[in-house]
Amino acid sequence: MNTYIKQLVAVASLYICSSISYSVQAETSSVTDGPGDNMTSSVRLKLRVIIPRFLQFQVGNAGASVDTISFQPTADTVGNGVAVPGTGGNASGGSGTSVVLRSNAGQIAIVADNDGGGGGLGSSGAISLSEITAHSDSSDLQTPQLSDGGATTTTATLTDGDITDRRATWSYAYKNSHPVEPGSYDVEIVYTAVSP
Amino acid sequence: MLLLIFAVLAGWMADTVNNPAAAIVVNIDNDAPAEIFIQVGKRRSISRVRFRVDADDVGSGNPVNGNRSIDIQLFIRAPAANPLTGFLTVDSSTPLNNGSGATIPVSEISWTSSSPDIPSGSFAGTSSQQLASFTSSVEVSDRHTFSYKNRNVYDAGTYNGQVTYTWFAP
Amino acid sequence: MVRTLGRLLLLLVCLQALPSQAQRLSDALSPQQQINIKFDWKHQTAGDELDPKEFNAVVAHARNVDTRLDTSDFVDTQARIFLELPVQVRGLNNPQRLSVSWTTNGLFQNGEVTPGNRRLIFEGRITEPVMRDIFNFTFEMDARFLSEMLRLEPIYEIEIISP
Repeated sequence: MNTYIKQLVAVASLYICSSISYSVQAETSSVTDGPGDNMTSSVRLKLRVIIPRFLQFQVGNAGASVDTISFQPTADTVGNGVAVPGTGGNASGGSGTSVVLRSNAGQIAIVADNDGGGGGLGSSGAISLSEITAHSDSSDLQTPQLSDGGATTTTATLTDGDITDRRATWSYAYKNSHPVEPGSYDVEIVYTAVSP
Repeated sequence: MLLLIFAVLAGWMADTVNNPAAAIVVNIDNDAPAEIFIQVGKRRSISRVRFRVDADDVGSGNPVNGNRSIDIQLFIRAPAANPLTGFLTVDSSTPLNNGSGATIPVSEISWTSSSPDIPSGSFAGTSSQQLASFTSSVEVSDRHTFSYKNRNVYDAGTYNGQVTYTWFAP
Repeated sequence: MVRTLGRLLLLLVCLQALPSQAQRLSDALSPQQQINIKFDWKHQTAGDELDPKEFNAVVAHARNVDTRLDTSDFVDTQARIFLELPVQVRGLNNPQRLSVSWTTNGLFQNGEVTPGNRRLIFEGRITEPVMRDIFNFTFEMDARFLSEMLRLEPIYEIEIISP
C-alpha cells in the first residue's frame, strides 16, 4: 500500500500530491488514474468499546423483596432426624433459589451472614443454623454452609481470565435433629459477593 | 439593358461564392482522468465511534449504540470512453484489544445504513469484506449508525481498534 | 421581348428587397490556427455532493486566442458580426452536451453558444480592414457523453445592416 502510493505520487498532479500527503492524518483519499494503474484508496475508522468493571449477583427474584424458603415438618415428624426439604424459592418446582453470578472483576468470594445475632433461627436460639444444610447444583457456584456466627465463604470458579459467568440453584434442607417448641423461627441470610 | 442586368447578377453570385473555410480549429483531447474518492467521517482526522456499556448491562445481549453516526462519501467518475467499476471493502480482521491481551472481535459490531447504496450489516472480522460496488459515474453518500452487540462478558477495560475501508477500481 | 423584360425587372426588385445574407468572415489572418487543448474535471474536489451534471462536467480552456477577422470588404458599413458553432462537431454525438463560452479584450462581446447556434459579438460600423481581438474560450462538456477527441471550428459571420 505505501509503496503503491509513492509510485502514484510520481505520476499524479500537484493537487493529488497534496491530498495524498494528507492521507496519513485525514480519512479522505482521492486517487486519479494514471496509465495502467489500479486505483485504490483506503481510509480508517476507529472503534472503541468500554467495558466497565462489574459484579452482578442475584439470589432468588430480582428486586427488593426477599424470597423465603420454608421448612414445615409435620406434627408427627418433628425432631425425628429425617431432613425436611425447603419449599418456596423461585427455582422451578420450588426446588430452591436461582442464583446468578456474573462479573469481570476477578475471583469472587461469596460470604453468608445472617441477622440471627449468633442465635440462629428465631429469637430464642432454639434452632441453630447448623440445622440447615445448603446445596448447590453447580460445583462452580457453591453455597457457603450456614452458621450462627456467619462469615462463611465459598469461592466461585472463574469462567475465563477474570470473568465469572455462573448460574446455580441453591436448595436447603432442615436436619430436624431434635424436637423444638411449636412456632415460627425466622432468620434472614445475607449473601454477599465480593470482588478482589 | 441586358448588360446591366448581367452585371448585377454577376456581382450577387460573386458574394455568395466568397465563403472561406474556418482557419482556427480547436482540437480537444479526452484527458479527464478516471477518479475515485472516499471519505469516512471527518475530513482531516480519523473518526472514532465509542460504545460505552453500562455496569448493569455487560454481556446482556442488549445492543449498545455508538456515540455518533459516520458519513461515508465516495464517488467514481470517468469519461464515457473508459467506464470504470469500483469496489468497496472493509478490513475488520484485527480484534479490538484492551492493551492487556483481552480482545473483542470486530464482528460484535454492526451498522444500519441510511441508504441502500451500502447495505446495513455486521463486520465479518475478515480482511476483505465486500460492502458494495459502483460503476462510473456515481456519487454516494451514506450515513452509518453503529451498534455493539454486547453478547458476552469481557474483562473490564477500554478496547481499541480500527477498521480500514478500501475503495478501489481495478 | 416585352414579356422577358417584365420578368427581369421583377427579379431585380426581388433582389433588392431580400434581407442581407450572412457572409463568412475569414479568420485565416489569425497567427495560431491549430489549438490543441485537453479536458479536465470542472470540479477538482467533488467531496460535497454535486448534482450529476456538475459532477460529470469537464472543461477545457483555450486562452489568448489571437483572432483576426478579414473585414476588408466591409469597411464603412454598419454590420453585425456573429460567432457560430456548426451543429456537426467531430467526435460529438450529443451536440447539446457541449457549451462554449468566451471572454475577450473588449472589441468583441463576451458570450456563450452551443453547436448549431450563433451569438452576436459585434454591432456597429466596421472601421478597420482587420478586426482583431483576444479570445479566452471555455469548453464545457458532460463527460458521460465524451468518448472521442473533439474538433471544433468556430465560424465568424457578418450581416450588413446598411452600406
